[in-house]
Amino acid sequence: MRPWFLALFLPALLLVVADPARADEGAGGFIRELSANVLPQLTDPATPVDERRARFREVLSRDFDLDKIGKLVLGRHWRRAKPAQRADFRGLLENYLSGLYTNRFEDLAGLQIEVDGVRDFEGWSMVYTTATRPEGKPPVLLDWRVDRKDGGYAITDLVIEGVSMVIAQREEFSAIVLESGGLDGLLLRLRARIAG
Amino acid sequence: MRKGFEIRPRTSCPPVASGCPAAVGRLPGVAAAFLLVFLLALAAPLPSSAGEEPKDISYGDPLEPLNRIVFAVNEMLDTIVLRPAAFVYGKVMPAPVKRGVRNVIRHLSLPFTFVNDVAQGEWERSGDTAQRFLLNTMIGFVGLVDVAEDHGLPHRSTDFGSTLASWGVGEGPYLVLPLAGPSNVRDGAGLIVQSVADPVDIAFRRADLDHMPLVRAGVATIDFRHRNLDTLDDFKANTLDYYAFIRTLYRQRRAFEIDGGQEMYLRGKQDGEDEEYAYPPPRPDFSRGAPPVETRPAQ
Repeated sequence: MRPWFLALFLPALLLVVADPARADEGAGGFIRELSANVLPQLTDPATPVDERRARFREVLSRDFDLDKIGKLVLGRHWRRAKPAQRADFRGLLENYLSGLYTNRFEDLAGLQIEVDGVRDFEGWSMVYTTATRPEGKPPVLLDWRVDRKDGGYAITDLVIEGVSMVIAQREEFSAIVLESGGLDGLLLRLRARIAG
Repeated sequence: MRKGFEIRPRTSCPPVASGCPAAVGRLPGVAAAFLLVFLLALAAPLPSSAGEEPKDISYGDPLEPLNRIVFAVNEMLDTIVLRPAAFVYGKVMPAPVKRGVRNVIRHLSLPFTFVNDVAQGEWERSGDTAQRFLLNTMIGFVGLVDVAEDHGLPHRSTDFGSTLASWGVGEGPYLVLPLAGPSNVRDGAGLIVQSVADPVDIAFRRADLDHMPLVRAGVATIDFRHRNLDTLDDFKANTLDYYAFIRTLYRQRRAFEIDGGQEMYLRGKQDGEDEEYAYPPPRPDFSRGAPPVETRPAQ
């Protein structure tokens, strides 16, 4: 093997091994990386709201698995949905969630997330973390459901002190499906809410 | 993330607009006994219609139409009475006064917390509760100042609903109680027991201070509503179905407080209607030595 090849190859190998997101840290490393590097970009109150919204949309499509979230949120209604309804719901959900959560990130400023542990389930993992808050507020337990996506990882649920956002959204949406007599009723309501 | 979520150590108050268990205040013994029988009757399993295909599930809420009516009435009372009162309380009272009020309200809950700790067989916790009560009574000016917190005895609360749960009583159907808000058959029964068995209220009545239990309940309710003003405003403005959202919040929080969500998770797996994820798997107890990583798939 020629020396010049080694000179290039070895640093590259080291880079791959040293990158925590790519090394063997798995789902826990993914959450650790996300909370260290991505969360601060979303919570900085100095950033204009429009820019934060754009950043959050980016994070939502890259670090969350919206197809999976949509499926989990609709639960039994997903199985009965027509392909066109599913696609429609997927798009509406993305808009709805980015509108819902963008303004809440200010509350997360200064949050320090420590990974307590990881459990693997069939095809997905739960990453259990504790978030310490500034000003002596009590710490918050945050559990992240993480699925594999495109060879990497993506968030599919956030459980805050025992309250799952997916389950909460599912029960709320389900109530609207029942009340309006079908999935189309929910789609209509979501469209109206997004339009403001 | 939903804004605020008002995450704090457990209180006996459900996260609700329209009040606190304490709001039930003082029921005459006979009425309480009657209500208890009524609630227990509700808790009895309903005759199942075997063979029928299960309809859309009710998320533990078979009495939804009735509950929605009570919820709407509570909401109306909240809008015209409780929320304005809590708003004014927040604006008018200086922060140290509010802190003192909160400390006293929490302090007065400790004797009944102690009773429940013992009834649940939680010896260590009952010792902590007793120590906290004595310390804050003697050095903390009868609870006005929370000295115990600085001595490693933070406030903790439990209630008779949790005690019933520890004896194996299931949650039963979800209930929205008039004034007291989100509950279920088991926790509603717990409130009734509390309304006649709270040692502090009993002491008040013995001392001919008959109005004090009601005053206490009223202050606790306003304090609770004040602390959740922004959070509940946010929920109300941003949810598509506020009733359903409060219901799931109450049920998930209670399940988490009572056994970390264990039972809810197992029941969800059995029902199988929402496939793999009816309820998230309970959190392992890492503080008691659960290994940080287990690589083989968990059950």
